[in-house]
Amino acid sequence: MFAYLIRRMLIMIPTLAVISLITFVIIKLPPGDYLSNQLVELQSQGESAAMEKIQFLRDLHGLDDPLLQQYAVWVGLWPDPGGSFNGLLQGELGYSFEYGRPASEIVGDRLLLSFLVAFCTIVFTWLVSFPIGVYSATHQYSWGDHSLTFIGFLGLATPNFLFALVLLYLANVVFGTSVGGLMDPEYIDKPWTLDKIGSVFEHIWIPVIVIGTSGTAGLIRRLRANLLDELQKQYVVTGRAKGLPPFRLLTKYPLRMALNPFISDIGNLLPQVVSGAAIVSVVLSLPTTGPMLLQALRSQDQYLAGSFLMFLAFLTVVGMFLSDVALSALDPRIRLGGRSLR
Amino acid sequence: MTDHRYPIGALVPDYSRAGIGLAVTGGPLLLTNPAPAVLYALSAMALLFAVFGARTAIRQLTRIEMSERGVWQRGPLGTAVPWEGLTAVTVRYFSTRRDRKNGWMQLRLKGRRGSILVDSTIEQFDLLASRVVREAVTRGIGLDETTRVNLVALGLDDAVRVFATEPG
Repeated sequence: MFAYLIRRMLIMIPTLAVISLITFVIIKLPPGDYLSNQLVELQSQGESAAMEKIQFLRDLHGLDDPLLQQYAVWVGLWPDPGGSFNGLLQGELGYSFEYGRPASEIVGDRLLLSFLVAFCTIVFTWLVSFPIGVYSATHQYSWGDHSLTFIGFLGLATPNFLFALVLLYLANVVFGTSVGGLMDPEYIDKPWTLDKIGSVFEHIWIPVIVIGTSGTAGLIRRLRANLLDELQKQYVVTGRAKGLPPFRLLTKYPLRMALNPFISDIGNLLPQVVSGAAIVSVVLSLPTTGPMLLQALRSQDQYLAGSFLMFLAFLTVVGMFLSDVALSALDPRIRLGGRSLR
Repeated sequence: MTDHRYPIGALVPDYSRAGIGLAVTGGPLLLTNPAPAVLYALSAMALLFAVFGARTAIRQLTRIEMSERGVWQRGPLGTAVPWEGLTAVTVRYFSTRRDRKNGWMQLRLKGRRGSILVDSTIEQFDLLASRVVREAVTRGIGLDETTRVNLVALGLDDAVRVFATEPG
């Protein structure tokens, strides 16, 4: 397992490096940048003082340097024009030209809140789909199976933004929760306190349910199908014939084998949850990375957009790593046919 | 008695992995001034790669002896599992690929006083595994489902079939 961990880690590191390079190149691909767009606008207005400021910013951030050098500075492997390392490795997300401040100041709690929403959504998805999937498989074609499957499909078929609007209305009318956001307005931009954390958890259930329901149906169907396959295998029939109690018969092997899609989906769920949350975040006015990423991409605010994309990539790669390690620990079997061992 | 070693050709990739891992994690640690969170993450990873390098070096110095009495691991972390003290045998398969191909197996023998872990990259792994499984079957030691599937893949179907007829 240790060797597996090392080998898998060695895949993760270059993957992140390549993603960071591709992200940077893609962001730089469109002609011009935020400052050159500003420059054109100011030139048309005949403002020369601001043009000098823009040229100063270009020199300060090395925007005229070779692409690879700009990339290395952004990652933090090369000193910036000031001679110091100020890149992602040093925790600096770069400078936001649109806001005129370091990106880390603008991002604030957004990365943390995005991670919190994503984490809670995945936990919610599992908590809902696991018992339903098991029930549906063990009570195949019963009323309960049909009803729960119907509800699952309903979640899959309903657009997230529509569901968000319905829940917003219900939360306001039935529960009296302030509409939108992830906390009460008085806690925004304030230090973290227990009251603020409480306010976040008071609000977080709406985005979690909205984003999570679309993922539950798929997991329910997969768990149901896998468990049904396992339950029809000979060793289960033998166990049943020998009088093994039904619960033990279910949990001893079939359930463990059917859990594989749950584990392998960690890596797939994370990016889905984060990117799927972008539109929901706009509808629900969530202070997460989604709306800011959209705006940064539209305005070619390269460092801000790049930092957000790297955050998403990091979540995905780490999620994949965790799911692969968990899957390998859970099911270290060879697939018959693949006999190459060295 | 048979004697098994890890061939140097099989250890070179592991040495390379440890070296590359140390370079890509330790390099930024030494040459740049990373943020605390990055510093801890890179340090932990660098430590893991260093331990992996040390483990590979130990493997190079290790010799596995199998005889009528049991399996002996000679080298820096020497231990022994006599047949009469054998309590469990597991065979695990690992692959970093999504299609689970091109992986490697690990045979673990647990004894009363210690355990021996052998990778499939060792010389004559099939011979070692078949003998260990035969001893396990003879002594009525249970093999789990994963081990049985992996043994079938190794071509040790007979041992699995014998065991499958055992009650329990």
